[in-house]
Parts: sequence; structure tokens; C-alpha cells
Amino acid sequence: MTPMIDVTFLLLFFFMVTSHIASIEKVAVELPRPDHNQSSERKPEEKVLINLQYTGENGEPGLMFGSLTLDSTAELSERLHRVAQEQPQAEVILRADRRLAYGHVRRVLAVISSAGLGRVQVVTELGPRT
Amino acid sequence: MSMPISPTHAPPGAATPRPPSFHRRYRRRHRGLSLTLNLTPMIDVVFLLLFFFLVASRFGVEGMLPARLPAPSTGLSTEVPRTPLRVRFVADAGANAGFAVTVDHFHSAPLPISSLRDELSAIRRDKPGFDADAPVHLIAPDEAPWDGVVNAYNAALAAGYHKVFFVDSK
Repeated sequence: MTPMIDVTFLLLFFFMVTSHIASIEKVAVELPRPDHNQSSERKPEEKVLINLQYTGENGEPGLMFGSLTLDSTAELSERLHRVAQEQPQAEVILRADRRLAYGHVRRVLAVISSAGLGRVQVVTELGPRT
Repeated sequence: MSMPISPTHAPPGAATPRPPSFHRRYRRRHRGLSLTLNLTPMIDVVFLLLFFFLVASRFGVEGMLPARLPAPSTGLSTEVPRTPLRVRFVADAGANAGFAVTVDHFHSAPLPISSLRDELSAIRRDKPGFDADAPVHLIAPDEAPWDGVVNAYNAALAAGYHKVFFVDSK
């Protein structure tokens, strides 16, 4: 019994130390992995999280505002304008799938900019490029 | 009259009497009962915790690249505009993900995105007027891969430029 308890405790300790707890807002997205990555781990106080999911070569990307799935960029614009009024210093955390075409992300960036939220954090994956 | 027996009064060579251990006293008092620690609840809790961490963990570490978007216009700028470095994405069948980049006035032949950092660093080092404050404009068509655009953005930051912009190609 003792070796099993030892191994179980070791596993538990490993998971507690190495893992990050998943958040419902952080959906599965393949993030870009640039060479010589300049990004850093940050935790902004006031933030809005936007996810852009890849749905196939010709499909429209899945757009999420926090944990809410949105149907259009018009809906996103409405929500971002509300955020800009309530929290003008909020930072927008953009998690866009690396397989998406730039045009899809550019349209979302234009919506963020027009809402008056100028501070954007582009999320990348830390680690060597594969 | 009896004398109390203590180690100092014991005859020489006699074994020193030891008080019975707690375990022995417990066994004497509770004959038939065994002294064991019940580990089952602890193991249950540890397995539950292990299961929670297995399910709720994410191992990929995420980082953030800061970007500034233009605010809605608030009037005329008093800053003298500087000549930007224009990095353009061009379709190139031989390049990774089908796109390479050119740098206006400096590198008109398509360049792999992975070499952009060295190219921009060389411009900053060797060309007067293109210091760290020089604006870098990334001009990409809609079909360009987001991964490549982020890679180019990151390359400009890695080369030491602070002002990197996504610029509309239309």
C-alpha cells in the first residue's frame, strides 16, 4: 500500500505544480507560436477575452466574447461599446487560432478599435515553434 | 520498612526495569483490538484531488504580445510623422504557409518570415533614421495566415522596434 500512496502523492504534487487551471473562457484554440517569442505571461486587472476559433477552411470563425458565443461582429461591437463606457482602461485579450486567415482577425481588430478599446494583447503559445 | 527501588538502589549488574511502551500498554488494555491507521478516507481524498487536477489542468503556457490600436480621432496630432518601415506580405508558393515578406526600399525580393527579425535588426543598426522609434507597418492581405502575421509582428518587436502597426492593405 505504501508505494502506491507514495506514487499517488508524487503525481498529485506534479499536477499541482505544473498545471494551469482551465478556464471556461479559454476554449480550445491553436495559438500562434512565433520564433524568438517576445510575449510574456501577464494578468491584466481589467480585461475582456475574445476567442476566435477555426471552424474549417471556408467556414466563418467561431466568435466568443468571454464564455458567450456570438453570431456576428455587430453583436461584438455592441458589447465592446458597453465595456468601453464602463471600463475604458480594459484590455482586450485576443485568442485567435493560428490557422485563421488574417482577414478574419483584421475585422475583429477593426471592431475593437472602433469601440475605443486601444489596448490589445495578442495571445501566443510560449515554447519552441514546431 | 521498605525502601523504594530505583536505579541508584538496584544491585550492581541487575537489569534496569523499563516502563511498558504505549503500544504494549494499549494492547494490554484493549486485548483483541489491533492498532491500525485507517487510510481509506485519505486515499479517497487524494484520488479525488488527483482526478480534479487531471481534468482541470492545461499544460500549454500562454503569453501575450501587447498591441495598440488607433483610438477614434480626437483632433490633429502635433507629432511629425516619421517614415515607416513597410513590411508587405506577398504570395510565394515556395515559402512556408505560402507567404513571404518584402521590406519597401530595403528588400524587394521575397524573404522568409523567419528571416525578418535579422533583416529589421540590420536596418535599425545600419540605416540612419530607422531607430527603435521608427514605425513598422505590417501590410498583409486578408488571405495571409494569422500565424505568419503574428510571427512578423513578433519579429519586429524582437528586432527592437516599439511601434509596430497592423495596416490595412486596401
